[in-house]
Amino acid sequence: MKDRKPLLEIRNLRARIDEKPILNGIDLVIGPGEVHAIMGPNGSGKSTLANVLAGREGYEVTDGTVTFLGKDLLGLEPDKRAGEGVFLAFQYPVEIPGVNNSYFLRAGLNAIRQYRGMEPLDAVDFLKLAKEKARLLDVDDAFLSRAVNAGFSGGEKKRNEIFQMAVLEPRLAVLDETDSGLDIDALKIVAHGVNSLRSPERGFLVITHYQRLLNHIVPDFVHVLDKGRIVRSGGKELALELEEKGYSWLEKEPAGAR
Amino acid sequence: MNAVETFQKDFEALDRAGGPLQRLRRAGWDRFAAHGIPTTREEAWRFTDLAPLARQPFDLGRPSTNGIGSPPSLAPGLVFVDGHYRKDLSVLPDGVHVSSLAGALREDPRLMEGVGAPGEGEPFVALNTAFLEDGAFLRVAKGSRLPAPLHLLFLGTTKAAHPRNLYLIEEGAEATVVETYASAGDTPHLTNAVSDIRVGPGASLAHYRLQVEGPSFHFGAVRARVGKGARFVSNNVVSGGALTRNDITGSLDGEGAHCTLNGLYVIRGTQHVDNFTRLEHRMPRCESHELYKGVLDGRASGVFTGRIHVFEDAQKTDAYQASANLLLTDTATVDSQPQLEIYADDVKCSHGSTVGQLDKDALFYLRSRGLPEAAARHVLVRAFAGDVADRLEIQAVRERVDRILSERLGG
Ligand SMILES: Nc1ncnc2c1ncn2[C@@H]1O[C@H](COP(=O)(O)OP(=O)(O)OP(=O)(O)O)[C@@H](O)[C@H]1O
Ligand SMILES: [Mg+2]
Repeated sequence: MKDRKPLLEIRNLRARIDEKPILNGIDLVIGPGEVHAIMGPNGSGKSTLANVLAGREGYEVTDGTVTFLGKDLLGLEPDKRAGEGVFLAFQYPVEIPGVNNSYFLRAGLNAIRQYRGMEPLDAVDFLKLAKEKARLLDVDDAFLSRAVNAGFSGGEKKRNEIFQMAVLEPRLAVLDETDSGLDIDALKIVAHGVNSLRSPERGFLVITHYQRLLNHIVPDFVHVLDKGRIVRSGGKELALELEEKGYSWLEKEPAGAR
Repeated sequence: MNAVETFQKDFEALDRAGGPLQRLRRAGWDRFAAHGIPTTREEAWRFTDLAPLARQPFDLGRPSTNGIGSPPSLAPGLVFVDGHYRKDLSVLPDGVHVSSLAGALREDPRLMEGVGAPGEGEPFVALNTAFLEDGAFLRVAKGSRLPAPLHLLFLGTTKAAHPRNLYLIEEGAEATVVETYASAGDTPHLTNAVSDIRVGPGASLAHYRLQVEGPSFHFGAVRARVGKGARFVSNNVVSGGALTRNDITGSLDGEGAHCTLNGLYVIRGTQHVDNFTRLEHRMPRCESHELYKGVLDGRASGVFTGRIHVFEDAQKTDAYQASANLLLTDTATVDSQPQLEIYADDVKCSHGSTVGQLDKDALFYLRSRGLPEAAARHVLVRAFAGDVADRLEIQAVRERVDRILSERLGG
């Protein structure tokens, strides 16, 4: 581990939606190879953080910086962020009727390759890659020829997100509640997919409500987000504590245990 | 001179030449002259303002042998310039009874009798009839089948062109005809085309109409009469023209006839497209399926009228109509209206119309996977247009439509 330059560095990030402050000064540093989990009550701003990182419209960043591999991430268009290696697995994946899953994914992959100055993959090579990743995630090949998420079950959509991640091989993957809606077997498959992508260069930000996922994807750090602020950080045991005691326990404890 | 004065001057010159078509032409002119260029006060023209046409004179296109730029041809076929057949540019397919209408009329001057007359409320068909001279003529004999699609290319320069096409698909015969309307340059011109179609009992015709002209005024009428148990499919694609009005009529004249109308228009800038479709269910147990889609960018405007007339005798009619429009900007507009007139009681008739914008969430989803904005928009527009585009059975036409979509969207 020669290069310990952080993958992602978030400093004092503040953001609002329609004048309403949602993120109130977030500091978070993710190093290469690390898995960070974010937990926190409904409405605390977890998805907002994920969306701001991916560049979704409608959020106004009022203060702070986000640096990704030394670059100012907030100044980049969403597709350029993908090109740089940021991937968001959506909490609510979007249905796009009329667009074939494999066409969609190849277009994305080739756009990212082009951004990086690489040759596009032709249909044959892409199919080979896609089938290999489909096997890894126990995804049916038929998935590829269906329209993007259209008519997919909740679990299938989540699995499709991780499948896309496996094909696109990002440097930083943000998984927003990918575990919700998954049955026990699917959860294991998804966790296996994530674990097989863990590598010394790659980082993960895993948003979840449940300790269960973290049994399979063991995090290096766990953070608790509340009212747009990280109120507690710790190791994987923090998640266990939260599972047992709930979030109200944190309010009773004096803050600042970071 | 304004447009009508110019039409009159050219009509009078043509009329002086006399000939066997004189009577029909005069009937056409009288009808047109009585109506004049329609105004927005007329119900059927409410959303299409022809004042710019009325001000602009276009001289009548005459037969010529002038060189033209490389014509955007799809395949061997017949080429017409300013409405007149160009033998030198055409490649006649083998074993098919196809010719210029002028040639066919020389052999049989009475060919247009009983088919050619303009109806009430068809001022541009009347005008076309006043200038009836040339176009394409196809006869597919009883029980036979065109081996390949017949391609017809109509090029406009700076003139007024009134091509008249006649397709006679006899009993049990099958054919596919592709009409492409394009401009030889980028100057304005006027196209006023009429295709008269007879699909005999048990026969089948797939008709394509691609309008990719430059800044033209374009009027296109398709008048199909569909016989007992026959099938007629109209595919109407528009991406060109400054102002376009198409009148597509399928008359279901025989029991169990079947008619499909597919439409797709993709426009931008200040382009205007008005598609007026009419389905006339005259006999029992006929079916019609209609799907029209529009993609509008810039300040473009679109109009869709879908009239379905079910006559008293047309029991067990099954008619389905849908129109959907995608507005890519806040300044593009669309007026879409079904007009149902149903005089039979045992019919199935449904219709629906939507106007929407690109789904922002879908756009972000695509971009988050690496697609630049233009490419992401292209994917979504292609998906929107997809169910019409994919119905185009000729690959070359489908590819052309895809090319139009990517040119238009810069993806
Ligand atoms: N588009 C929006 N318009 C207005 N308010 C919004 C919008 N998106 C999010 N919010 C508000 O921002 C706050 C944070 O929402 P966010 O989705 O980030 O929460 P979350 O932590 O992901 O919650 P959950 O655990 O339920 O997914 C909520 O109060 C929510 O109502
Ligand atoms: Mg959320």
